[in-house]
Amino acid sequence: MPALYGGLIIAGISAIPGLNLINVCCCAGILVGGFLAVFFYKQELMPEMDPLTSNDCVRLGAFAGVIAAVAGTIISVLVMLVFGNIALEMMMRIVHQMNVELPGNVEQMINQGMEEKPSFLGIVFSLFFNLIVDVLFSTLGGLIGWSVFKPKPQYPQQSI
Amino acid sequence: MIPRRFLLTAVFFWCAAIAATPLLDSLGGAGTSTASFSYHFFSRVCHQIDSRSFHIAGGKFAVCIRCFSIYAAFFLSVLFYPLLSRTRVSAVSSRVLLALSALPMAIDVALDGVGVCESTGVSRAVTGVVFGFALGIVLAPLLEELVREIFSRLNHFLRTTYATKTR
Repeated sequence: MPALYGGLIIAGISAIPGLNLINVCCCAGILVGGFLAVFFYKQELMPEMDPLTSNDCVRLGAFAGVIAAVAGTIISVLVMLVFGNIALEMMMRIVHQMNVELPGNVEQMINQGMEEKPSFLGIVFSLFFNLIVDVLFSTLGGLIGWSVFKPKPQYPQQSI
Repeated sequence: MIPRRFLLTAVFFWCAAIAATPLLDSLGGAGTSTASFSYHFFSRVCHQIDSRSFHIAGGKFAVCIRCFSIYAAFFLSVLFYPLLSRTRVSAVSSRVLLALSALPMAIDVALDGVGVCESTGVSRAVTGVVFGFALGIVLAPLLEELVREIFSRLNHFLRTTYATKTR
């Protein structure tokens, strides 16, 4: 479940237009998702359970990445089908606000891209890229989570 | 030693792919196709805004200055980790190290976002290097351990598969 929560957070951040701008800062959203998966797992740990290990964190991060890639692809396809390519529209609005002159053919290509519907090959391609990036960065997020939440070493108490 | 080399090679190739993209693009033909694939791949990781990227051979790197600085510093940090692990820096708590190193970058991004002070190429590079270096110090031993674990499991899997086939 913690990996699922982490994965869904990453998918939400990656697929929702506007919110996905968080990822432009070195995949911060994906790193945070892996980190949060470890955090949620730590919250669920009972004292009688085995303590957190780095292997757990790697697994949690990697699973969160896989879930994020699949869920993120599904959400982004749904968003594109319902609202069209609003991410590209937002980018174009920002470009126009910044008074950046785009060459005519580039603007034409972007306009064509906004009108295109997602193809099956495009979805598979997107899923493949998402899997690589999400698993990689989410695992790193999990490892950051381990370095932050790892249990403190307990030294044997000396009897006086 | 092998896990460390593997990790270094992987991080080096990641950084090299970023820097090589504009060079490939300038070659034309298959180079341009490979470069467009690379730009598309790295677009998942970075905004790739032209004015915020390093340029080489007339083309921009596949990621922005801040991202490239983080990756390059991460590589250097992994490279020099054996030396760094003997210093006091490695004794600092991971939480403190990550928080302190991320602070300049967060301030730079926040000031730029609010419009108080526009971030420059230098500020992006410096804050990125600081964070990337700290990230390397925190993650290098963990990643080495992870690569070692993967290699050992792969080795075990191959041995058992080979043993059952020869039986």
